[in-house]
Amino acid sequence: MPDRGKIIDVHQLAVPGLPPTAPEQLRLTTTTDPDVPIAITVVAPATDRPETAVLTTAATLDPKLAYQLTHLETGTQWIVAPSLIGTALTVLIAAALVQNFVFTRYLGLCVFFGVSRKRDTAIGMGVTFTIVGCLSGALAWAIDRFVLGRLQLHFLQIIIFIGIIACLVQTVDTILRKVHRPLHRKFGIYVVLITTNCIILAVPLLNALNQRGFLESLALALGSGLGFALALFLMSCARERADLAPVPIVFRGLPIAFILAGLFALAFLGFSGLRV
Amino acid sequence: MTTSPQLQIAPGPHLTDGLTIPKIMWWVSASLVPVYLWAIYCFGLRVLGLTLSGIVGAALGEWLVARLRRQQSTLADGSAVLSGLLLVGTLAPGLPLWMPAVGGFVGIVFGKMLFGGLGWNIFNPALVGRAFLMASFPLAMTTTWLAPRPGILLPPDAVTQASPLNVMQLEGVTRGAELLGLGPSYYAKLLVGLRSGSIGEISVLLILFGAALLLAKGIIKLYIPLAVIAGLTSCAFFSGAPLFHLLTGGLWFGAFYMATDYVTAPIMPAGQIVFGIGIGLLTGVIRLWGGYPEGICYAILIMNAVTPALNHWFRPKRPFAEVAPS
Repeated sequence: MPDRGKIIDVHQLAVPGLPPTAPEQLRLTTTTDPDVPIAITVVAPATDRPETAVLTTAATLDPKLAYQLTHLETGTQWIVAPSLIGTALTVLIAAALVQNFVFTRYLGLCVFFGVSRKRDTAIGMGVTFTIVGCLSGALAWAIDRFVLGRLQLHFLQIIIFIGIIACLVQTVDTILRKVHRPLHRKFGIYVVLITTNCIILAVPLLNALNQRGFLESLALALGSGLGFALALFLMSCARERADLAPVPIVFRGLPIAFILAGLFALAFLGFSGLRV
Repeated sequence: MTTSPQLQIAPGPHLTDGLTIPKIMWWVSASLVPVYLWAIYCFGLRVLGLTLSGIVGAALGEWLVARLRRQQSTLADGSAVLSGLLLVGTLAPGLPLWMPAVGGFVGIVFGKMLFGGLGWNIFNPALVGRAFLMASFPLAMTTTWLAPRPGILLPPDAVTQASPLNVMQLEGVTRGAELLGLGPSYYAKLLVGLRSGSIGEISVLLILFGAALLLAKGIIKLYIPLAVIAGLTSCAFFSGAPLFHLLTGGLWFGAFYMATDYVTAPIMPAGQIVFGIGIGLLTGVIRLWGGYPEGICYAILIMNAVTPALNHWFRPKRPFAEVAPS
């Protein structure tokens, strides 16, 4: 198991356990392009940590990429890669807040406006959507990786994903009805509505587009679900209040809900550019 | 009891103390006068133009919607004027003169009047106006900070200078502290207000003076401002320069004048404390890890969105006194 280094700045890399070495003795590449070395200009001991060297590179480093560092004489290797959990967490928060599917990508609006009238339906939809979204995200990832990828059938993604989601939703509905009647009575209606939600299709498509691993795919599905649930809940509370307000007659109902959603989107702009 | 007044039946509250809506709005506006005079003294007479522009835009929006709805205009209650005034307080002094009018108009029309006017808005109209300007004219909103030049009311040319939080975000905490020259004399400057920044936020002392006036009149309570400051303090410890973060930006202006808006803040004290802490934490998160140098505007807007939910969670369990079982 090679040691792990860490990118500390756009040009700087901290590598633990590296003795002072001349830059020519080291070879830094990305793991995807092992033939293209990245020039190292300075190797200096770190001031704040013992037995750690700080490498300065000429080119900028991307914290999202994986790098590989080899000591040419001893053959020791270091991996510099973002941690799996960290990446998953970034994806999750990005999907829930920074690029909230409803407020910044304007997806899933039909269901969003349809069920955000009352707090109870909003909570029911949010919970159901998060669970079903995770299931469909995981299933679609597996099909994409093991079937579509192997057979070079990427052009079928959209239709296959729609099929998977429809089947999955039907299955969940049937199982829930047979296994737990009261639960089905409470959440069954939302399960059926989910088929027509565009977020649930956007998640596997985005995962396939960015070639995400399983954990990241699941994080995106979970994040989109949580973000959707949050948006629904906040919106339903605000709409219950706006329903009582003396809104001009032409704006009552859906129009004021659209204006409200616009103001929510304005507020959610505050999360843009958030780094985790 | 010779004359019995006409029996009045109305929903509570029944206790009144003579503090009417127009009185509150004009008192709040009056308490802001020193802050704006200081901004005029520092940045020149164009601040006066911006202020008038913001007020005119907001008042126009209020008047127009009332007119279109054939309702009596509510301009005299001062809430639109106050919204325009508060909006200008969050803007950079070097903006084009027409911009605050656009922001004030949009904030009042879309943030308040379409929801039915004063008392029904979900979001703070002044901040809606600012967020709208920020989304529409990001370059003008973030690059037109002026260097303070006290006493020169009609400067022949404007000298732009990045706001302290901008410097901190661009240069990082160590180099930023070096460039700004953090130290006791710099903190004293921040307190007095000799720095670049938004019109209403530069002088902490004058804002505190105005806030003290409002506190003495019983117009605002301390729950929300203290919670906001506590929330930001807990975040600022991760920044490397906690005192700097507490003294710059729109923290004091936002905490005392924006977050305490009756309509868009929760009703119960417990809800208000959660609301305030949420604003403080979000401000810190946006400043330290977000894409904007200053986050209090968005933090308040986001917590405004949570306010209806907070009101639901922290509603009083027993509306009246409990009677012990005999």
